[in-house]
Amino acid sequence: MSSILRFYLISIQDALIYRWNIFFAIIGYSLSAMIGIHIVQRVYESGHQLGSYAEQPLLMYFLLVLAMDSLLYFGDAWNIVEEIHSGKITNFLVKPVSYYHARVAMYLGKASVRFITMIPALLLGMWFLGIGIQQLVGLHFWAFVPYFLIGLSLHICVIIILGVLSFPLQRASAGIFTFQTGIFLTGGKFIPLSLFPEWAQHILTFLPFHFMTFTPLSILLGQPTFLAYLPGVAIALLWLVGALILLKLLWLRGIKTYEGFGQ
Amino acid sequence: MKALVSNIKFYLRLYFCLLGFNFQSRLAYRGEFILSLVSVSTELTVRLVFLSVVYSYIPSLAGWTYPQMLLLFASSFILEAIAWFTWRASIFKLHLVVQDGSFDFLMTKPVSLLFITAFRRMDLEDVARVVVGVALLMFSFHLSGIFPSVNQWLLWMVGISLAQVVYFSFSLMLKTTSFWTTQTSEINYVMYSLDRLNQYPTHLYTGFVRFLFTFIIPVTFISTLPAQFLTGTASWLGLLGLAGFAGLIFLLARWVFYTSIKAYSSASS
Repeated sequence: MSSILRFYLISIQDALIYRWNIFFAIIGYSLSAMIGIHIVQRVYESGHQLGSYAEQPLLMYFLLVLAMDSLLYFGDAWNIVEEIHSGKITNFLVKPVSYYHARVAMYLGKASVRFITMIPALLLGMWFLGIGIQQLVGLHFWAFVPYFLIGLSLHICVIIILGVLSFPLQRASAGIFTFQTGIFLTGGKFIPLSLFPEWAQHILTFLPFHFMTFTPLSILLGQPTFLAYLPGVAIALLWLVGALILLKLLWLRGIKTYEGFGQ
Repeated sequence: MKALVSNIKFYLRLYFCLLGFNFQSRLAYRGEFILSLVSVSTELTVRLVFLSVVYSYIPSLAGWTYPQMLLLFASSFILEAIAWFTWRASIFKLHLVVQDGSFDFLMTKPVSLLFITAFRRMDLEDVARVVVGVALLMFSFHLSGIFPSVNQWLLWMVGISLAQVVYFSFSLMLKTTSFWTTQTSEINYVMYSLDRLNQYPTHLYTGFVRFLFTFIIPVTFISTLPAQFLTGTASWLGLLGLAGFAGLIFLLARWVFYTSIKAYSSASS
């Protein structure tokens, strides 16, 4: 446990070495969020409406996506690809620590720094959109927490799976990018999934990605989701268990074929 | 004049030579190359799905109808394709050569440092953007039933070339921060966000944000204005403004680049 905690702390130190880089990430995410926010503002100004959403919850949704962005990032998948491709992963294999426990700790370290540094941008966004702190009190935080934790775990599993795919595929960068873009859309980062046509919503219900952004945020905002609360938690947990099994299988298979070629 | 022509010829030859190298190295991993084509196409599809979902609820957005918005998307896809085929991939990875010190090798080459920094790497899978862009352009004309005149096409072609200069200069200025702060990988996310911003007209924004996306982050000059040449809502006067802005920002970016190099320490080589 102490070694995992050490990985977590080292990761925080690492992230703080390049403070400007974090600042740039916040700018990038904020610019991206501005698009959705301005589209919503123009739509409602013209007297139209997006689905059954009122303007304020939808603006809040895009602002919260910004917060989720800081926690659910894909950079580590590329780091794993690089470690496998260059042979640097050997350093981990000879140490008495679990590679993916270390990876999860490092991921959470970076995510913590990103989230904390994102807070000023979020507050600025709230001020810009006229959302008062008192409106946060009305959010369903307790119902949100279990979904968020499962969604975050699922996300971390997916990125490690994508990285570990480099064992059999040598270079999986393009695959990661495809997946990342797909997850952005099917997870609800660009737009709430309940705005999609009904047939598309049916398909999206059967995918796990809505548990990463759309479902937790809808629950937080008190908006309708695809599934009832408890069955939804149960299905999300099943997906998480499935992802963990897949990760274990890919890892064991990958290690067997790994040649340590590189550095 | 003769020297200038021979210089241009030399750099054109060098560009095609680098293009050939990049082609060979990309095709060394054919599977990865094909997957990259799929990846780029997926990215474009996702952006179009988002647009279609929004327009399924509204007739127009900030005065732009669905076919006009598709046209703007198409124009920006083509702009991006040209960028990836020329300078974008090199600028994208500038922080890596600064970090590991291999920028030294670029400095020792007997060619323009700015040229070799900007054109040493090209991403050929982005040919998918041209294919999708052209198809989308045709589809938007089909939807609107309006086909641009020869004059409009000409304005757009010159406009998109000048927009490329603005796009390059702005991105170069962003990435030159690598010389000062070393690790700037997250600036790439700013550049990705810029791609998304480029797909929407600046009419979407109001007040300070509109000013920001016109003069500080020049989205108007990179994408909105060139697309307006095709929709017929901008004229030669707009082109003159774009040319002036492109010239100014290029000179500024060149100055920023050569000034920033002084902060390069070559520490890791």
